[in-house]
Amino acid sequence: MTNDESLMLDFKRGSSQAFQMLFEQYRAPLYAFFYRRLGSPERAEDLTQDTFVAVIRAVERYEPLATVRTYFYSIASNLLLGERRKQARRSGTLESGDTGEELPECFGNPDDVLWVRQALVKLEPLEREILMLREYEQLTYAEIAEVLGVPVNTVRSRLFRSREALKTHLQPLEKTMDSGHRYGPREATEMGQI
Amino acid sequence: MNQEMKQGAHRFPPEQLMAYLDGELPREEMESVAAHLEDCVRCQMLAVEFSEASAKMQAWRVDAPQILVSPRVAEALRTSLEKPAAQPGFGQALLKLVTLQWIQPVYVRPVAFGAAAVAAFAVFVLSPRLVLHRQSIAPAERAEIALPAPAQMADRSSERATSLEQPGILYDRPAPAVAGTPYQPSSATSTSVVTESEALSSTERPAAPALSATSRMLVRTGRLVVTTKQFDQARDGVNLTLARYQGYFGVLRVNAPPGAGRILEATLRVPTDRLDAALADLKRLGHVDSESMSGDEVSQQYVDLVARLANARKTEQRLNDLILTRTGKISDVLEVERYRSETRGEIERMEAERKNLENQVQFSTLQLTINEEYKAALPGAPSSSGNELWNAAVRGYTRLVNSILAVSTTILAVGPALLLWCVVLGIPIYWARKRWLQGKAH
Repeated sequence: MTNDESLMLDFKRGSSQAFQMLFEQYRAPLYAFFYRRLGSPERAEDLTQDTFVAVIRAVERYEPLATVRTYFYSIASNLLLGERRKQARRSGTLESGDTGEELPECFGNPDDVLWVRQALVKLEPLEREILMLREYEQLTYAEIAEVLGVPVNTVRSRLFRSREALKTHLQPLEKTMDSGHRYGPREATEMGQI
Repeated sequence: MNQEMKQGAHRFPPEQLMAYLDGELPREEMESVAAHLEDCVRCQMLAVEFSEASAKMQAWRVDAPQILVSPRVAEALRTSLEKPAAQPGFGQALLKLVTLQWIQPVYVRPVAFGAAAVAAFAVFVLSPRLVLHRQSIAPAERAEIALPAPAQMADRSSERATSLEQPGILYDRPAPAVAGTPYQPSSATSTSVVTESEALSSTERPAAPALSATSRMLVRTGRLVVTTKQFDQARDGVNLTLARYQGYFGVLRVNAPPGAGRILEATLRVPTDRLDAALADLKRLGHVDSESMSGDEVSQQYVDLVARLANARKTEQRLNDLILTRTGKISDVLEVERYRSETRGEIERMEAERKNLENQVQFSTLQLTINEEYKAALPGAPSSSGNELWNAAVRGYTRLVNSILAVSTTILAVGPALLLWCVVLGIPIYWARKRWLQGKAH
């Protein structure tokens, strides 16, 4: 049992200091998780707080069957799904089966990041999510499978496909960048439909 | 077999190679893939491609703001901790207590008698008084331990966020000590008696970066000196290790002094969470001559920097507001402009410092030196007789040609003058000698 699981069990027994340590450990990763997928600092912060609220409310039912990391990201993924549905309903574009899994319109980040996002947005949603969980959240294959509810072999094969696709998507951009012309966010938006 | 692999007959599919790079293979497969990777150039290239794609993705970094516990979380925490603790195994403990399993068999009978007597005394004598006493003091106790209502907290809290380290938020109920945890659970007395005023004062405190004060930021640096016989393989191994752990070269220098082994000196930047694994791989490149690691904690420095940065930003905002909303003398406006410019410069300098600090924390620095074991060749090794004869013949021919050339050039150079002098001096000498011989004959 890792330190996180011990902390979670201590929190379950009533220690707020254990919660404090968990909060400190996971606040930044969770914020980054939401920010990369939604692009809004305010919503990312709100959903980070929502995740902790959900953890607090569900702590009595917590059993150390999986890692705490998986537990947190599973909750975060559910909240993210709800948020995307809410956004889609607000914009009136939700169709059956559409979960609104698109990366945000604009982050205001430097160009290099824009290229990566542009390549990411071209990936199939599940593959993109698997890739992002692996690269940014540093989850293992088993943890990704747990969070997304898919078999480990699927995670592995989809991850490979997504990396191959990402390489392909990044190559033309690299050529563009190597040629000396760097697109601004507006041009990139038109080009990559971000 | 190596030739086969180089020609493209791979034993491992690329997907398995990817799993290897991600550290997701069983140990036995890891070893075989690692061995294959050392020989197969195509797989090495594929590994580098994977690493490059990952490195590109890592360019998208998110700087998380100073997130503190919001009132919602604090309220949920308070509500959660106010509930009775769900003690694991409580039922079993109660059963054990009731069935007197905790008493040694020898003492069962006397203890049972004693307990029965105490119970009878409690039931028939003390019980009514205890009930009365509890009824009389309960409201007071409840008032003392009452926590502020959510509405009160929300109303009185002017801050958006509340630090968990503030005393009023430690709503701990008695919790059993857990071995191995790095903190000490609060005692029942100190945590359950949290007055409303304490809770209020806690919410009125400024939202200081309290949470980050306990986070440890370490700048890790290390030095490794390795000696190896297979220098080229070791160098490839360094490249491969960097690709595997998504590190990069800070500096790379290779020296090949005459009469000594080659020396590779490199500064490697490796993600801190992968430093130990990378170091373990690098140590396998040869014999480790020396190894050292150090870590500097920069948490306080970072917290100070972030606080100073926030203050500078607020100052800049105030100056902007001042310029936009106030009017005054030109000299005053220019003075404010100058001060704003200085503040902007200070902000940018601190931003750079913060990013540099974060980079140092995220990427550890490893000074690597790889020395090649040098085996000196014996000087002046004897050559074969044939070679010597051939060399002598060449030398003789060369000397012959040179001497002929020398004589020829000498004759050509001196001959005309010599001939002239022979004619000039020879004719008088000839006549003189002829007359001397005639005189001698007479």
